[in-house]
Order: sequence, then C-alpha cells, then structure tokens
Amino acid sequence: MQTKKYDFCVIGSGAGAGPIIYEMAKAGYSVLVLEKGPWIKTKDFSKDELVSCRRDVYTPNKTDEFHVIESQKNDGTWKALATRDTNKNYWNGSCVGGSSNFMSAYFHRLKPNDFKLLSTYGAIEGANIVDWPISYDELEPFYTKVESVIGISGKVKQHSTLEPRSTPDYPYPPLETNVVSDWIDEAGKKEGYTVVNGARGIISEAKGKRNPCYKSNYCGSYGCSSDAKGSSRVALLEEALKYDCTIVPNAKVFHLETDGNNKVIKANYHLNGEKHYIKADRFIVACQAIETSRLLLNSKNDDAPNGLGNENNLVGKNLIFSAGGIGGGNLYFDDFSKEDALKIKKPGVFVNRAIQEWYEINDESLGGKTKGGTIDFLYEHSNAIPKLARQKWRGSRLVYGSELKTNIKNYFTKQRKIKFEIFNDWLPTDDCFVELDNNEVDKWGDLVAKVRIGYHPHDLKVAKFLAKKGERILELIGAKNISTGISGLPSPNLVVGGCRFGDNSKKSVLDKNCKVHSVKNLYITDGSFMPTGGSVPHTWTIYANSFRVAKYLLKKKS
Amino acid sequence: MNENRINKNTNQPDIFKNIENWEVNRRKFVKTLSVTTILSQIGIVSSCNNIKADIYKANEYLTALQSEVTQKIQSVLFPNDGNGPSVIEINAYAHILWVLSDNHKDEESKQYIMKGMNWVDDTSQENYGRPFSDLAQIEIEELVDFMAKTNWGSSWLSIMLTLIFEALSLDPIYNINSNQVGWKWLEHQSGTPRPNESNSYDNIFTTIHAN
Repeated sequence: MQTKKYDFCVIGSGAGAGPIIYEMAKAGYSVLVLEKGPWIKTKDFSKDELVSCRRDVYTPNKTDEFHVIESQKNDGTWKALATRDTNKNYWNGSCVGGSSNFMSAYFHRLKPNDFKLLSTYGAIEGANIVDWPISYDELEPFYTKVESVIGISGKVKQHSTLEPRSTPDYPYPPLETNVVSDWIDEAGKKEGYTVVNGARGIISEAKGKRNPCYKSNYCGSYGCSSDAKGSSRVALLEEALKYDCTIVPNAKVFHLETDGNNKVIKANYHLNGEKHYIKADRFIVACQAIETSRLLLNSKNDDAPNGLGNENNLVGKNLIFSAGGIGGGNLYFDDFSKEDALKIKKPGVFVNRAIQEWYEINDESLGGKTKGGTIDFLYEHSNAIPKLARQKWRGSRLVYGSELKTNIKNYFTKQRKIKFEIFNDWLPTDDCFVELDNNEVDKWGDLVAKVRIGYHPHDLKVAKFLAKKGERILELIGAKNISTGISGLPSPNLVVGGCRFGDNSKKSVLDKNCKVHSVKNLYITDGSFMPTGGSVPHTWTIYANSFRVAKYLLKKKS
Repeated sequence: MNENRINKNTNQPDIFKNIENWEVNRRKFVKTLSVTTILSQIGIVSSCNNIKADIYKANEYLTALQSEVTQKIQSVLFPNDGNGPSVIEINAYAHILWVLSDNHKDEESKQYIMKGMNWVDDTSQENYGRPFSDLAQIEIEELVDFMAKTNWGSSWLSIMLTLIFEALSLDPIYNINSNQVGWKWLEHQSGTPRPNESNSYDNIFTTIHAN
C-alpha cells in the first residue's frame, strides 16, 4: 500500500500518456505511472513472426482479459460474442509504451477542416458530427513538437491539401524508398495531381541513444530493435525516468475513488494478486479508448452512480475507428526489365507515398462537397505466413500438393504485391459505443467492456470512391490483378473517441483541455477525446494533443 | 461415400475461421511435456528420408494411428516432389506435436486437430472398408482428394496446411525450417535481429507474462 502522494498519477503509458509523463517529470513534478501490461525492453524484441504475429505474446491472454463485441446481423439485430471465443483481438499491445511499440508509424496531421467537420460539410443523417472546441492552429505547435521530440522523418512537398506548417520541413530526412515510389509520383502527375511524400514516426538519423532505422523490413506488429520507431517508451518514458518518475508495470487500475466532492483521491489497482492504491493531486487516464471508457464506467460510486464523468450517459458513446479498406495488385517481375525487377525486389526500403488529393471530395455521386480521405501506398508486409495462407484457396477449392507448392514458389519469387490502405472518417453514430458487460468479468473480477461496432453507410461510399483512385495508380505503375476490399468492419488498432471533448458540458465528457467536466482533477489524454477522427491514422494527433494538455497543466500548476 | 454417415459435423472452432489471423495461442512450452519424447521423435523423423512404419508410434499426444495419419496426410498435402523441401525436412510432424503440447491452448482447438485425424480413419473405413493403415499411397491421395471436396474435410486439411506453413517459414530456432530450407526455397528474407535464446518464444513469453 502506497503512502506517498504524487503530483500526477498516470494510468497507461502509450502515445496519449507519454507526453504528459515526459513533460511533468521534466518540470520537476513527481509522476507515478500505472501500466497494466509488462515492461518489454528493446533487447526483448526480435523479428520473430511466431512471437509477434502468430501467437499473442504481446497482448493479454484472452481467457483472462477479453472484450465482448456486438456486431450487427443481416436481420438488423445485434449479436454479442466474447473475443475469448473468436479470432478477434481488441488489445493493441498492452505493455509499457502501449501500442506505439508496434505501430507502423505512418504519420499524418489532421487538416484544418477536420476540426470543423459539421460547419464545413454539414450534418449527415444518423451521424453525430460536431466541430471540435479547438482549431488546427491551436494544435499546430504541438504537431511540430512531435516532429522533433518523437522524431518524424519525411520531406514536405507542396500539394493541394497540404496543411499549414510553422516549419518548412521535417527534422529528419526521408527514409530510403523503393523505385515504386518514383513510379507512383509519375502516375500521380499523369493523373494531374501531386503525390504526397508520406512521413513516418521513424528516425532516419541518430537521436541521442536512439539509432536510425536499419531497414529491417518488419515494422508493423513488431517492436523496433534500433529504437528508430518513435514509441512512447523510447522517445518519452526513458527520458522521464531521469527525473522523479516511477513506472509500475503489471499494475491494473480497476477503480478511481472520489472524495464525495468531485475530486479523485485514489487509483485502486491490482498488482501481484493484491489490491493497492495510490494517491495523487491529479489523475491522467490514457488506457486507449475502449479501456479508458471502461475504467470510468467501472469507477461508479454513490456520487457518480453511472460512472465518473457519466452524468449525461456520454462516456463510451461515439466510439470511432478508421473507415476505409485495403487494395492491392501484383507487380510481376516478368512485366519489367531485369534491372527494374531487381529494384522492385529490393527489401528494407519503404514506399512512403500517399494521395490526399481527395481529402475533400466534390462529386455528384456523393452528393456534392463531402469529406474524403487518404490513400497510403505500401508493400505487402514481409511476414511469410499470410502470404503462404493466401495460396491455399482458389475460391472455395482447397489447393494442396504440387499445385500448392508451385503457387507458393511463384508468389514468393515472381512478383511483389503493392498495396494501398484507405483512411476516411468513421462517422460517430449511436451504434458504435462502449458499455460494461454486466455478465462478464476479467481475471480480477472486473466487468469487461462490451463494444458495439456499427458503422455509417456513408463511410463505405467514401471509401469506395477513394478505392478507384488508388486502383488507377496501381494500373499506371503496371500492377495486375488489382482489387480492393471495403467493409464496415473496424480495425481494432485504430480506435478513438468514447469521451469526446467539447465546450458544452451536457454534450461532451471532457472540456477543451481534456479535463472531465464534472471531476476537478481527472484528465483523459489518449484518443478518447476525439469527437471525429479525421481521415488519417490517429497517432500523431494523440501525441500532439497530449503535449497540448501537458502545456495547459504546466501553466495551471505554475 | 456419404459424408453424413460419419459423425463429422463438429463445427470448426471460431478461432480457426480466419486462418490468416489464427493463433494457436501456444502460451508456453508445456512444463509437463516429455521433452525427451518429443526430441527423440523429431530426431527419428528428421533422419529418415522415407517414413517407415516403425516411427508411427503412440506418444504423449497422439495414438499410433493418429501419428501415422498425420505424417502420411502431411506428405500428400506438401509432397516431396522436387520443388522445395519435404515435410520431413521442415519437421512438420514435430511441429504438430509441439502445438498439441501447449496446455494453455484451448482444448477445443486441439481436440479439433485430433478429431480430424480420427475422421481420416473413419473415412477410410467407409470408403474402402479398411483402416487407414492398410491403404496404398494412391488410395491415401484419393482419400485426401475426397476430403478436400467436403466442408468438414477441407476445413481440417486447411488447418493442417497452416501448421505445415509454420514449419516451413518460422525461425529455425524452433527446430523447424531446418537450415532455413524454407526461406532459401522461397528466397524469403527474414528480419533482423532473429530470435535468440533469451527472446525466443518460450523465454519471452515467460518474461512478459510472469505476472
């Protein structure tokens, strides 16, 4: 049982928590970090497909800790299934540094219109779209700060939707790219627009003790062995530990206790089979969107019978994923000169190209002006087993024997698959939310989160529009068998919302500084604050917003 | 040859339905596992160019019949046809024993793998009136072809193929993909650093899940 009272208790240690921990510790405040997962160090990581992808080593045992997911059936009813019983996994790296350890680190900023979606594009029936209480200009300095502190590499190039910047370029030069990146640039020119040089949260030059990217070719789902990837763990926590900062791994917070006067006084947590608590002046929750809402809902007490901050039944509501889909095609080496084929095959270098020409769409098929999205290009992941597994079926026919071996050999040695990923807004709706499942508990006996994953049909229309643009580029660079898969199924690693911020305390959970409206000293700094998600991966924005809140807290403390 | 006459209506566990995401969930190498048994099995399989009847022994996880079914079916699914390695070179049978040895793995999935082995013999009895052990090679191939055209059979064979793929392409530190034979065949470049003793599956799992 802890007796020391800390200035800050931070629950979680990923991208939403790291900037707070870093800034508060550097400013001389005492910081205690309670992280549910273990502390995996850089030396513990390897490029082992068994560990990183085939077995859930980096995430909790789903028998012990799971989610209940509600999907809509064809007849319109909802069916709930525990992830313990399915192949779904809604954990994203439960460890010190969180899922930022395992991100691919495709970094994009939001654009000014993302902060005023409602006033720019208008309402869409069935979608709970609102403007943000802050503008792009207010967040811009913190996007810039992330570039230098976390370390972002890339090359700024003028294009039609480039967001305003306070600096001319990224602090780290772009990572080496494959020949296909040049071809995508040319294809964009032919189509009449400029292709974006994609930035990455991966350093291309040494930064302190962090070594630059060594082009191992295995980023997404893997921990980085050179610390080039800008995880919260290596970019922020290791610096914070030089000050009055303590990280407690395997500490699962299950309840925030209030004093009856709208102030949190204790975080109660499980550690080594025992219950503990910690006292602090301020509490920061950043457990990733689903678990953050779960903790607030599980923290109900006599003063907050529906859960902390949940007077208006808004905690957990308007959960957002990233809408879109994935497309791809095959670059058959026989279709290219020997020299070009060798360049296509070159491993370890990146594609790092994106299209944002249709970040705003003005097309009659979509009813005129509407929000569009981003198309990121990349090569198929280097993992072997998904490629092998893809050869097993031709339609419904199982392929095996010599035919299978021939297909496998050809797939691995005669082509390379180029892909694109579409990111567009997952519109917030009443059918996508987190609540507690009153019938299911985790290994500690705490109610688990039940997540309804409904989507808005508009999301698919936009994604299909963007898919055509991505497919066109693949055609122009010589890819074959081009296809796209668009669906309303969410990517569990791209989840925000649930505690949206806003100026109206009746319509939002957090104020503009991410303090829970109804609680004096409780802040939420992961992606939960986002009322709309934008049309890019969320990580850069989560980092930037956490730095913004940190600055506010420092000002308030001083 | 009516597939309905045999009780194979066990549904494939949900966890197998998206094979690309399927995870065997091998929590750690089982403490109760008789390592010497497994290693001796691996040694025998690895050292033989032709599988001999006397290696179809019962072990801690499989009956002699299941052992024989597994190895012969693997050889049909991924034949030694001169194109790439054989299942023996990649230690595919030992890999299955390793998977079955995981006592943290849900029983439903392990039972599914083993039930399928029994279905093979059931189908042999039904189609040929003889046990699987008595089938000629051509009959085994016909049997696999028959199974692949059924829902129950193709689902189970698909799982067996995924386990072969693991043996073909995971790191040789796990006594599979011997001498990187799979990687060399596929011109596959593994990432670096490769796993070492301290951060390979068993040890990293213990490190991470100690609490």
